[in-house]
Amino acid sequence: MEIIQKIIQLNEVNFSYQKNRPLLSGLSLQLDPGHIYGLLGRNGEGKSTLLKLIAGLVFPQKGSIDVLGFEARKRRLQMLQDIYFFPEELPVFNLTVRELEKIYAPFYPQFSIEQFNHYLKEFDIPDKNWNLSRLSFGQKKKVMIAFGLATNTKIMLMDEPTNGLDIPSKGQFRRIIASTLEANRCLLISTHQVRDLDSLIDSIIIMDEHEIVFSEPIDVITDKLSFKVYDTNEKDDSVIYSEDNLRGYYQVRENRNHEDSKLDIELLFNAILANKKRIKNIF
Amino acid sequence: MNTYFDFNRTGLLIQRYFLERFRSELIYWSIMAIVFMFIRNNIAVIGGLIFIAGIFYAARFFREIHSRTNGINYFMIPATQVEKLTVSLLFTIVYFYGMMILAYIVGNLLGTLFTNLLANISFFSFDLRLFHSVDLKWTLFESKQYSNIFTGDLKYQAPYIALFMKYLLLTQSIFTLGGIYFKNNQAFKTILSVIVLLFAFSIISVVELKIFAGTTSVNANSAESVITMHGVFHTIMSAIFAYLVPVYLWIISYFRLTEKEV
Repeated sequence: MEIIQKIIQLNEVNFSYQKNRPLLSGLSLQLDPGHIYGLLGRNGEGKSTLLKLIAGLVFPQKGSIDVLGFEARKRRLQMLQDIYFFPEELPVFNLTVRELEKIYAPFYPQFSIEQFNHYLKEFDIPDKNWNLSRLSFGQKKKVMIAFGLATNTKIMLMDEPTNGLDIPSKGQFRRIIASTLEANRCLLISTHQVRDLDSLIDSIIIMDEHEIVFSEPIDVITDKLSFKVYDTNEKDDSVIYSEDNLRGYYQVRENRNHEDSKLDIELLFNAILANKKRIKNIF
Repeated sequence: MNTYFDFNRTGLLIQRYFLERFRSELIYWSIMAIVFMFIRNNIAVIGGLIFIAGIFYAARFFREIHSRTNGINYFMIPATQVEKLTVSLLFTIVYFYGMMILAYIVGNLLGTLFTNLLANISFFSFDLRLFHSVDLKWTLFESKQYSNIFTGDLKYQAPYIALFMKYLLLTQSIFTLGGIYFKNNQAFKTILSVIVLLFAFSIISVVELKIFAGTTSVNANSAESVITMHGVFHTIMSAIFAYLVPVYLWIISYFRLTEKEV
């Protein structure tokens, strides 16, 4: 199987919905296959817009977006066959799950009905005769996630996929997503619910002030930074960020001694927003 | 794999439309058949209804692409823009026209049947008949008859149904573009644009009249003032408006669809 390098490439992209109010400026990004990227940022930073730009649903005013070797805005057939966009708000379908499969699956050359059935079972959707318009938001979301994953597209863009899912479903979601990652597949997940996905994501992209301020794989992050709880708020020069809570002081430090620690995405996010320059220098 | 046009993908798009909108289609065409039960013999009203219904059908068809959620779904379907536009044209022109004829046939048959049934019913105790028996007439399929004032020969135009198709092609093309171009109230905005455009054309005509004829007033009662086109020029202009303008509008619709952002 041919593995494409640089599955998504954005170069100096500028985008705005209104004149004189840039949403994204000079944004460059490269995404490779075989990774699950977590896209984080405050509200209104342009995360959903970035996903739409990659999907070719909105067009950049400047710069270029290359997806699987195609210019995204052209929405070429070969690109659409290998990209699945999972929006935060789901479309209104007056179809049964079976009809959804019958109508939409043939558009995707790699679609697997066995996988679709398997994911539906995992998500506790037992009956394909259920009408999507009568399902709850969470159930509908599970059907659409199952469908999206079964398309086996090389790129999956997901906007807040765990919003509206109950606690067991979030666990099922993590399990299923982890099982679908292949060497030639790239998942980009935009989310605020970092705790839902911290065991899943292997690379983190953070947006702030309309640009990408951080993009690193988790192993590199934990190699260069340590995330630990301390009893006292000692602040030597290795401390980048500190916040207190009931258990003590959560600190992000430079990992000078290459100690093992578990990444805390929320803490990393806050540390980056508070101390952007220093973190940039470390990486 | 054909990356420009594929009949399988086009067929799937058609199937998708039917499955997703089966109920609303059923309601739409049932209403049309009921309306035809009442206006089955007045060709002017039938013509007006077909055109107005066509305008709203085109506007309704393209509502999907302007919706944030359903628009994303539409544009992310792995089919080419040519296939998507072809399906739009098939629905707003061919399918719409076919269904209109079917609705007319059903409405005409039911209307005539019910009228004749009611004609046999006596109301109250005395023999009061509110309805009269009628013959089944197919006004839409008839031809307009006119006589040549010089020779007295009777001539027939093409049947109304064929004439309507010719004009429907043009109007539906205009409203296809309007449906893709305008985000909200597509039918209203397209009608408004057409009116503005016609108004602009009429101003140009007046200016031309002033330049070439030296006047801006034309006496409508004077036979000499009636400007008509004759011969080859008339045939060419008619063909352009009937067939080339729709194709031109489809091409613009294609580019507009390609450049549509959600």
